[in-house]
Amino acid sequence: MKNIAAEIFSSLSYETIKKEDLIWRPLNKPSFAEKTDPLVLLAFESPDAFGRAVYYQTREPISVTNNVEDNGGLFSIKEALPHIEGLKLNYQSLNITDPAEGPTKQEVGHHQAYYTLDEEDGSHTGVLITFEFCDEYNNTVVKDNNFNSSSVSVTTIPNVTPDMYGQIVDGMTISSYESQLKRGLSKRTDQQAQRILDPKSLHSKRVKNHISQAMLRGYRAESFYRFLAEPAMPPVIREHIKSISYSFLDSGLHVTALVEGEETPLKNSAHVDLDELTNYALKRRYQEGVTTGVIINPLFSPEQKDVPSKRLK
Amino acid sequence: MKFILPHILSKIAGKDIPESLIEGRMLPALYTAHPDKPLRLAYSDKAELRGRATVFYIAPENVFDFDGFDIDDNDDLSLLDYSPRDDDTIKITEQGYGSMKMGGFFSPEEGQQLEERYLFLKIEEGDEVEGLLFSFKGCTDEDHSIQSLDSDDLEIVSIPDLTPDLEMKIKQGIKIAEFNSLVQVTDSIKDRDRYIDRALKHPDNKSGYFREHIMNTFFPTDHLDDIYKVISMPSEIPVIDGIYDSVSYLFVDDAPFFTAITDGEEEQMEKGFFLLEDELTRFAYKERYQKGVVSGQILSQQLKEKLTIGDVS
Repeated sequence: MKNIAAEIFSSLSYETIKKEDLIWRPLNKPSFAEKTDPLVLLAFESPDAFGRAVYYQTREPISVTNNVEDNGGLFSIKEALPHIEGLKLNYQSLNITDPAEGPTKQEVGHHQAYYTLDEEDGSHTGVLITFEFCDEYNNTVVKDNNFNSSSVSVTTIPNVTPDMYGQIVDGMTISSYESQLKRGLSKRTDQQAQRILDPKSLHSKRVKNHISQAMLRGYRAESFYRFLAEPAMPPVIREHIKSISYSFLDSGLHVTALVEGEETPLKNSAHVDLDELTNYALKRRYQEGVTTGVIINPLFSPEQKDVPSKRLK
Repeated sequence: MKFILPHILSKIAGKDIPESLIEGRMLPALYTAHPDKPLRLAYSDKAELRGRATVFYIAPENVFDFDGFDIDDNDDLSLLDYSPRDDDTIKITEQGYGSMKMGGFFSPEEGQQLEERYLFLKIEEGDEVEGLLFSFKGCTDEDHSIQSLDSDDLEIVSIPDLTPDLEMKIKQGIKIAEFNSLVQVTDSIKDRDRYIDRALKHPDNKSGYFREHIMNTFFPTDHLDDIYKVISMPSEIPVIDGIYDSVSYLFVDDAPFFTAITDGEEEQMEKGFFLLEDELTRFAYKERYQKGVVSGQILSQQLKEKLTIGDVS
């Protein structure tokens, strides 16, 4: 029986790597205090399966960049990923780690690629390849061309069930997000949260729930729950609009304005800040369960119009 | 009330600026249309603000330099004091200042982020009170200097009949604008949350609109729907297996205090477990919000198993 870890290292190095060239051991149990390990959910929810997982590295460092073009001293990890028959790439993630550990002292991360190997007996083996301490550049994980196998590990998880698959892929996403939280990277962290929470994203409900919770952050919680207990503040509406009606539809919030006696659909923020309005509608729905509403504009003044510039005197 | 803007502009310009050079127009809708505008908050309560406020500016053909005036220099600011004649009773007091980062705009020479600086003065003459909101566009964020600017970069909004309530709202509006712009330009969670924390804790910032605005910047509108869903769900109990046997918490002065127990001994929470403490904090606040409980205990799975065996025997 072939050893998939040896095949992967062979594919990465363009050399023949045998099982004897590898060292292996059981996985170290990840800390639940910090969910920054991609297999943290598997360890907690399927501890027996986690106990059967095997961690491989090469006994001696070998080059793993032979098959990729040297592009100014850098190469893309994504280009270097192995292509082996029967090994299907399922998911990739990046876990940010301590910048001080990286070769350039810049933001660095562990790039993880998760594969499924279909075995002859019909079972599925999970294969997690980790490339450690990669620099990140232009949204491509890159590493200098001195990168060798001492920074690469392969973890195999036998008999992966659909539940375990979910635990692994969800764990990779959650740990990636948590690792960024730990490093305090704001914009990218928020961008990642936005991608995950997008209604069209295929991430599981568990991941979406976790990210929503994590966005709250502990030190914000007190302010947030106090904010929840306060009444929703209606948005500021331009004076020429008498009232605004809204209703939640499947497609989102549908808004119309009453202007000069006529109902007009509102599609942008020119007359009312749509974020303010949406926040108000969502909070009222949460607090009172109402899904439609009419906001009478207290500033309504049909006469109010901007006038051109004028001399004082 | 005496029109003292020429006096103030003369001080800023270091030369006589006659009233004839100053032009005015009604406050355009743009000045109150978006939540990041300093006058937005005042406008949200009093639509007539737009009707009576005036924007003053210097026409391009009359442009003058600000040479010699430093907005950050208290001595220079004190020059604004108005006392040309003994029988004048006009009093000028500085009521607020702030700066709004002009996201994406940088000074071409120094590459520094540009910002708009605000200075809010209160003019009193007998029972009459007027507010003057100066805005200096194109300051650099390095030294906030206006010395290199000219009158093209300046606008002044005059708000007559300034009530204490309006004054408070303008000051808070400046802070919202400042805070909003800082949040937009920063790439650091720590910096952003520091701004938010400072804004929420400031003793002047009591209005519901202010808190609502700040809280909504915590959570982008796109994510709010998911966050409300998560808030409605039962709390997920944090996993402490392998870290502590149990963790107890108790709310004191509106904040949860945690005590961990391992092998029967109380111990301090490990400071390095930042993400776990964050999770525990969120859990405690959510439990209090949903169930009204102000104390609780979380047991590790291993301890639960031990306790079950003990109960059976």
